[in-house]
Amino acid sequence: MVYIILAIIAGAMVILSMIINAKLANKIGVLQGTFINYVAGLIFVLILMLVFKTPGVETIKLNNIPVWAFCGGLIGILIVAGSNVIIPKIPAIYTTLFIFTGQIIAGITLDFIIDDKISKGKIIGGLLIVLGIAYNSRIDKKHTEKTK
Amino acid sequence: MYQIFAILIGVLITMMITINGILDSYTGNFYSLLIIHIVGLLGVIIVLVVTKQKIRFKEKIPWYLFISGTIGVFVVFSNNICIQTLGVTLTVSLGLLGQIIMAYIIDNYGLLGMKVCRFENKKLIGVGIMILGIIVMSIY
Repeated sequence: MVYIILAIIAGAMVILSMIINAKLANKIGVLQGTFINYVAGLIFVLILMLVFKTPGVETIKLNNIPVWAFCGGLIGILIVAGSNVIIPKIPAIYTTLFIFTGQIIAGITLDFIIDDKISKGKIIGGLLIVLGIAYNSRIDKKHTEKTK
Repeated sequence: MYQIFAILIGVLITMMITINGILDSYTGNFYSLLIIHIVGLLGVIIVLVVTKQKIRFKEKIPWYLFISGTIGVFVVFSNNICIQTLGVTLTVSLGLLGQIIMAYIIDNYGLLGMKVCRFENKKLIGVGIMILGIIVMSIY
């Protein structure tokens, strides 16, 4: 239950940081904003490590870790760059819908790869989530058409 | 065409969350956060150099625009530990629910200088369907 609440709060924080990032990008540029983001994040992590007295780096066996496991940060940059290409091209409502759909499809696929079993509940649940988002997107779309 | 591109970005987001979670299972919470931010920072620097972009501070920037990176640390940390207990799909789905709820709250009150866009009660149906989907996911 703690994890469920934590995951929801993390999602809420994503929106908060997206808005702040957009404002920063407006002032200094998208990549420049991303740079500031990573610097601030890095400083914060280092402070956390000092406060919580993290054990030395020799406690982790770096050579046991596959190279691709280090690439999460790089994918993040692809996401930032890619979003900049598509966001001006399609209406925001559809961007959200398609990105969310992609996330859920990938989630179900990755869970299948990791656990080696396909879960009917996740597919049905995933379909329902996409349906719910699509339904609300339709209301938003009607609303924007009216204001136009 | 751009629609497929948008779906691909969604796929990348989930892949990133999963890969970061796997790294976390090897290194522990703090070192994974450290590695993720160092790799990301190096990546941005390379892109900035290759595209020959400079960082200029023409105008005064309010301090709170600089702290979004610290929020990011919390998000990555939370995802890393949730994925190991909840699995990928459920972590991502709960995150989406959190995003939708937060977006509605910000729009409704016009927080953070956003335009006020009142919440329509009809949208509770969509949120309800999403929650139902998450319940189906967690029960199975």
